[in-house]
Amino acid sequence: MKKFIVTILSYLIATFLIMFALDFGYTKVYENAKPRTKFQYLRSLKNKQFDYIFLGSSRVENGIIPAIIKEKTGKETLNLGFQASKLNDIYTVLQLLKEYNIQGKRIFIQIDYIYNLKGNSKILQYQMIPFINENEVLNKHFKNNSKDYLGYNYVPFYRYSRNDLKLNFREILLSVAKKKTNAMQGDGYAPKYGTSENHRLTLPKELDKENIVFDSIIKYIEKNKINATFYCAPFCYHGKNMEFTTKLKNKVPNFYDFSRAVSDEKLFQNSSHLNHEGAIYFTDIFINQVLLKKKNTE
Amino acid sequence: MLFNSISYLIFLPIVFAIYWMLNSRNLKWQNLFLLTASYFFYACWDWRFLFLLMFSTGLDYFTGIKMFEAKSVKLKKFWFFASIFINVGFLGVFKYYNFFIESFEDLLTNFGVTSHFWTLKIILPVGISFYTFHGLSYVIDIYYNRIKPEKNIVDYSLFVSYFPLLVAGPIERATHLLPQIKKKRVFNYENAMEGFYQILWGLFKKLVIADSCAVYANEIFDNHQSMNSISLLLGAVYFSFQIYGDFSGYSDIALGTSKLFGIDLLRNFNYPYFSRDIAEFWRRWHISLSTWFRDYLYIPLGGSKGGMTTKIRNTFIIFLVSGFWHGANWTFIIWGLLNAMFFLPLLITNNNRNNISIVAEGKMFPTIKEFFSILLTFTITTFAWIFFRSNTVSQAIEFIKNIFKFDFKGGFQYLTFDRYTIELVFLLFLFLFIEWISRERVHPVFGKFKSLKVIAIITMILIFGVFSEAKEFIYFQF
Repeated sequence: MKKFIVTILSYLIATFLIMFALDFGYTKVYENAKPRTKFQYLRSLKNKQFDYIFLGSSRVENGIIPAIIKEKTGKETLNLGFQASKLNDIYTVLQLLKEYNIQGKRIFIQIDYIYNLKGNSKILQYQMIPFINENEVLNKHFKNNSKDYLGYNYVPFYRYSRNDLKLNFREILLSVAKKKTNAMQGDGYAPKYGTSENHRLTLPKELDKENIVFDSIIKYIEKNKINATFYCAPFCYHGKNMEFTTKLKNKVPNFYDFSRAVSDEKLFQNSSHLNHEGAIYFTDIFINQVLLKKKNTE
Repeated sequence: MLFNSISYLIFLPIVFAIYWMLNSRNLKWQNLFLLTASYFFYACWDWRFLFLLMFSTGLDYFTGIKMFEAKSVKLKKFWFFASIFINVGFLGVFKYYNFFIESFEDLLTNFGVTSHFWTLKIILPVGISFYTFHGLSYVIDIYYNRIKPEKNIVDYSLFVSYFPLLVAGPIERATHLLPQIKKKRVFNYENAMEGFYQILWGLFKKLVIADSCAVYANEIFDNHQSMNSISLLLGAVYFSFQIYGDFSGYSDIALGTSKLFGIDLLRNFNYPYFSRDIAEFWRRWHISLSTWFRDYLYIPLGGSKGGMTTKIRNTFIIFLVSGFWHGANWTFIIWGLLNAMFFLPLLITNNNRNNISIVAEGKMFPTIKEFFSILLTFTITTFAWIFFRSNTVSQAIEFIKNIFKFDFKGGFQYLTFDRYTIELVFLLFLFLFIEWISRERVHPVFGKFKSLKVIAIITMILIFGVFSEAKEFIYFQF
């Protein structure tokens, strides 16, 4: 029995060592790889300066075209919209800008029904997992938003195993082979094409009375003297409870409501996402109504 | 509690440690503890069904003794049929009632009669098909005077409810398992290590092969209407490996676990995908069920005695019942019938026992004839699996029709998924290679460099295993 226990224990120790080695190897690959995800792209922008930075969900990622802004205003612009982002994610990205010393003279934050949504983006979480121990902001993000935090933080390789559908050996090989993705083309802008038939949308009836995360964002902006502007990106006209954005306007400071700025259904890929033509159209509206207007008054 | 879960990883060492600590006391305590652990293991799914398991156990224990003590043949028959009726009745109610009712409703609808009968809204108790068959074999063996009834209720209950085999087999025989339960077990290092190696290889089959293939097989079967021929073909092949990795992986973990407790269970799989004909396949696939049907159905029906018509009739009955045993769905029945049809030419030409030995025994490569025989057997088996996997017969037919459209537009559609692309095919070839070189053994951890092989398997499980969602074993639903 003693021999058996010793043998099994040695295999357990070997397993732990393998897990440690794999964790180290995977993390090193992700840290040093050319960006294949948008979050890696964000990390690659350390110590860079931009005139405008847009934060938010896919409604930013698919709706704001930095190249057009640069062409029309001459300003360097970065689109940091992440798919399925909630306020928690936006707050984390906002803090990461400081952590990575990515400077934006003006920050635009897209806010809509996500004001009422709890939780965080699983897509962004996948992308952030390799870097969980890189800084306090990311570590805190997982601590507050993931039930697997203890495993992710203290058990080697657990974070990769639990997310093997995305962070797998194939992804490691592709990173080592420096295979590119189209995630970083267009300074963070990712176009959607075509238009779907279903343009129905239902916004929440009421605004949540309290939102701790939003309050934290406001405090953080004030404390760090960030020049921040909030806006709501266009929704398709068929939406229910569209007055929600009016309620949002009363709650959110320095807020531009573009929820009804685009009326043509053909410019939407679906009820809340503009297609490429829609993004061109809306970026133009945004430039004229916010960026150039402000510029003229400066 | 799944074999591939964290809770089992905690449960097993605790049970193992207490079990061997009790060894110095006496066998009674050891068996009682193992029974308690087994009931706890079962109750982790649904404690309410534990009472059904206990009732089924009590019934067979009681009727077994009553049959043995019966003073007349009539009384013996009474207890025998009472046990069979109640056992099969439970199985019928829980597993087949809704199927028969719904099929009857469909039939009436075809005649223009609208009906709505009462259906059961309950889940199928885990392992009911397996523990019912345990009990049935015990009762039948007593009835035919092959064994004497077990008087010790704890030992008998352990025979039925022993946790490594409780939920998905192997289907044990009283003649094989009960003597081991009644004998004092002594810890044996070599045997325990064999158990460990087998558990490890079972985990590899489940986590790496079955669950990886499941990602694609599920996607392809669920979206078969929009898939081209090559993708559908791959979907069918992936399912073949999924079900093999899943069930043989489960069996390996069960057998390995049992070895840790000094108890040998019946071998359930013996490299079935290297079979040279369908008869050999059925001697190597789910062996404990095949032999159960052979001993308790085929032989009592007359077996191979009598004319060719009897043989054919019995073969069809066996495969039909086998299909139906797997689930209350026409897809399983057709799967059984297809296998019977594949078996038929071998039976008629008396070639069903041609391939008894291990293929290419002692050689590295098979002959060309052997290779193509293996390929043909795998192809027809995979064809039948399409029915097994499909939700309905019409889905299976549509799936097969679309394969034979020979539409290759879009190439490998499954390449769009995130996890693996063509790498999975390479992984399957690697798996087949390891199985091929191990085909004369129980698992690949043998010979020199065992530690290195163990490390390699652990590393591969960590790198290629699917951990993002613990997937249930397919055979739990049966």
